[in-house]
Amino acid sequence: MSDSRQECSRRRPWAGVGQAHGREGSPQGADTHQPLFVLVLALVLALPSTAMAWCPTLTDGPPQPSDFSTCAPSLDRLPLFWRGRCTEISLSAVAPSHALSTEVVTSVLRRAFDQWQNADCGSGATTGLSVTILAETNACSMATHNTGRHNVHSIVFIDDSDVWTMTRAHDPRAFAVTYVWHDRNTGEILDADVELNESRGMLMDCPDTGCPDCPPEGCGGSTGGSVDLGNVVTHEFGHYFGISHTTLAHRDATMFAQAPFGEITKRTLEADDIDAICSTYPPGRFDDTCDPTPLGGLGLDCQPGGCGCAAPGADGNARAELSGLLIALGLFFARRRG
Amino acid sequence: MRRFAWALPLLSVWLVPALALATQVEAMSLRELVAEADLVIVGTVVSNDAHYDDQDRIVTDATIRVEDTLHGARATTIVVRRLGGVVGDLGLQIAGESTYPVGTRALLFLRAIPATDLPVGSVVYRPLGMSQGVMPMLEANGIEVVMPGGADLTIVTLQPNGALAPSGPALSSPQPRDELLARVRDLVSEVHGE
Repeated sequence: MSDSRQECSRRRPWAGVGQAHGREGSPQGADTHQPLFVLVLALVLALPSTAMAWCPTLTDGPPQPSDFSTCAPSLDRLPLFWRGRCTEISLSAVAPSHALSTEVVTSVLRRAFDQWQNADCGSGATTGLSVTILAETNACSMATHNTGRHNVHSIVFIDDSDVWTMTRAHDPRAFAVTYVWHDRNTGEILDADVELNESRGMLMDCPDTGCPDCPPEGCGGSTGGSVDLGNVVTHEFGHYFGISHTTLAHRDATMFAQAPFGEITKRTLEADDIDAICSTYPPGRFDDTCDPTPLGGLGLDCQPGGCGCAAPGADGNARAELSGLLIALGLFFARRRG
Repeated sequence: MRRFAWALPLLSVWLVPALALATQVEAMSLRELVAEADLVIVGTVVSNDAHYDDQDRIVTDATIRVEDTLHGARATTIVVRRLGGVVGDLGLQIAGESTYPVGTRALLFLRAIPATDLPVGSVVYRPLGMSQGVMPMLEANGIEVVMPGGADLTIVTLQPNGALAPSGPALSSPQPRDELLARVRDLVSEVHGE
């Protein structure tokens, strides 16, 4: 695995373009445009030479160059990242899976997060990332961020295709969508929520041998079939950590954008995915501090105002309750001053 | 298509970034794009406006000046909505969402959705198959070409033998504008009876 990562890192940026140009037997007609071609090539090669195979999610901004095998950095856009190593996520109580039990869903989510958390960055070192799946559910029916208020990173299942396509405006063919809220000035991720399309095929926790009647690579087709939850959420959790889709050269990677029905191969990370998570969060980046409380405190009620309503027993709830109390006190005194 | 091969490095650098990859979404053929579209147009992005929708999400509405309507209701301008964007210091990113830089000209395959945050009866449009329904156009050596849309755009590159890579199911390579629009019109006629 590590050898593959080194190979990826050593790949010459824009090699695909350069090699194609330099090869004999160029396409007919290319010669007549050679001056422009050379200019284009010069522009391409003049781009920053630290291009990567995997792609980070970036703040909004000008276009980010990329090609078949590399993702170039952008001078004007910042990569997204979690500032702290610990976060916590909760299943929606009002929009749960209708196909799978909470226990099964939780187990699949745990395995998916573990893939990223336990990625071997070399000599057994890991990123230090840690995601707690709360036992307490939340009241969010959709992905939401409450600016300046309490929040919860939420997993929401939507089984109504009209809600998915018309209300939420998602593509009917998408298996899931991850919302990553961030500070545009720093790239710090403030909140992340996953909406899963349960109206698209039959959501399952497929065995390791593959989904029914499908090889591990999936069945293909577009009219429906089994959808492995682990395959989907392992990919989405890459987005959760700030990683974008990888290039076509890494179509076997978890972070490749397309997936057929019945595929399970994205459940496990490939070298490109490991390179992505280890580069984004290199071992030693974080200290030992672990505070998973979302920005503004944990708010399982999913409301922009009101109390924190954090249920007891969950990691970080004491901090959330304290935060809620402090916010309430602050508001009380602010109103009095007003 | 080999006559456009020289332009591929240029296109891949300038146009790929405008089109994000799809979020675990299936590929669509040109026929499927036509069949499922409420509107097929050629247009140019004239502005972007980021704001919160009525579901507290940041969305960015791109106003498109319509130059040619191949299917659907005719209008001078339409609004294509992207989920995500920036309002103040807060950004929202959703992988796979197309971006619409001002000045971008594209062939768009769109579906209409009600815009409940806009005046009653308003609709906004969303690209089909996420970015697959957005095929940017540009002029290359005096000939206007349409680029493949969506995830497949990333595989459009020169191959070692000098040929273009086989790519998207909708378009396998850049296509001359007039030829492609004629194909789309034929499909519109065949599929929608227009």
